[in-house]
Amino acid sequence: MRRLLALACRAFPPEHRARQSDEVIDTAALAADGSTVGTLHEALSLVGAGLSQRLRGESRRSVPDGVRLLVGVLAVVNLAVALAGVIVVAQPLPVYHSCRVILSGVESSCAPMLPFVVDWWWIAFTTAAAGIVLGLVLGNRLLAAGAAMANLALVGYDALFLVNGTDWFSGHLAAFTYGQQSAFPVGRHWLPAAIVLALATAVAPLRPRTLMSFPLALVAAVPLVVLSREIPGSFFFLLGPLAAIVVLAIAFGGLAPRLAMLAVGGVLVALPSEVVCLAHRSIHHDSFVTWAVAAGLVLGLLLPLAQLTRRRLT
Amino acid sequence: MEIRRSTYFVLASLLDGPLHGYAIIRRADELSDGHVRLSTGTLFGALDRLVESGLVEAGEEEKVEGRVRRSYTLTQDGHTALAAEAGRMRRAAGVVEARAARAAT
Repeated sequence: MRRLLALACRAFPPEHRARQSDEVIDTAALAADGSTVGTLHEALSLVGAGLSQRLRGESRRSVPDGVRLLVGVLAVVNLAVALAGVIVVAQPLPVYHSCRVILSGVESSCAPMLPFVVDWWWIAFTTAAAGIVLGLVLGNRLLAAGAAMANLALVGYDALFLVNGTDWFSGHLAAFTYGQQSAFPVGRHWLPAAIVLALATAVAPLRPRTLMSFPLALVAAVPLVVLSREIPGSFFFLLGPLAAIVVLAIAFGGLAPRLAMLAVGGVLVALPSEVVCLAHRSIHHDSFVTWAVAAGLVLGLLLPLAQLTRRRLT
Repeated sequence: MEIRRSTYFVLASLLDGPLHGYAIIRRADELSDGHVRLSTGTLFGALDRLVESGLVEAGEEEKVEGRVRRSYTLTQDGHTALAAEAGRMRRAAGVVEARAARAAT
């Protein structure tokens, strides 16, 4: 019973006394009077109070706190992209020689995709991605920023020298188009993410965490890798969570600057790909959807930015 | 500023002197004739807000019979806010009682 109450107290922010001492747990245990129903009632009330505390605490967070959250999220997604890529190239799916259609219908030539190999680029990309996460866990800016720059150099090299114009089937990330009608990231799609990650890592206030956070980050990346394999489009499914973040940021960004910052960073990552899609509108299946997504992304960038600016001015 | 009912009874329970968390729950229950049964989450949520706004002061932590507890004291601002809220409710009740009495006669 006491364990349940202790677990419920984890809903409070780490700096709250419910997490720092046994005062709240002891009070809840006394109030529950040893009954199971009483303990459940007390545990639920603690979860509610803890979440409310977290929500109130969000308004006291700063924009740099938001940058730190953005870096953490992007680093885990970047690692997931690297791991998923290695898995795809190590275990290629059956070859489809029919024409593939990617990213809302950009048709391309049907060049044979095999053999994929785990070449130096994938190994270096994965190492850099893991290095960023490790640097963030240790709170070591030199390691985190260095790895983020290496990550940017690798993704930039692939985007600028190996990707052939608008041919999404060139470059290393072409592995994600394998046997699929649409995919993300392909071609130069991941370059904005690498740029945002490198810039944010350079300026984010880093805080050392326990070493346990590193395996936890790996564990967080695993579901993304699995989903990228299970859901068609590789990491295209991330547009769903991004849309949710943008909507929440438009609604609550004024109260929660971390949310606004996360939305701004996420949109900066997704917007260039959408701009490329609009530029090649003539080869699109549904330009209405593309325009609607682009308008949503622009709103998702401007409104949270306005909220952050107003917060800084007032 | 209107004070929530649960917060009002947390403040009222501290009128007679400092109390720790569980004692506040019991005292609020007594004072409200069992109408206000504070859960631990509600109590500490209210105490967080009251301490933050300077109406209640949190004492040092102590260990009694193996349990950790801390006493909470009503500050002067807390006394003033509680008296103001009691006055507001008295006036609000007075409006209804005066009209009800007039209607009865």
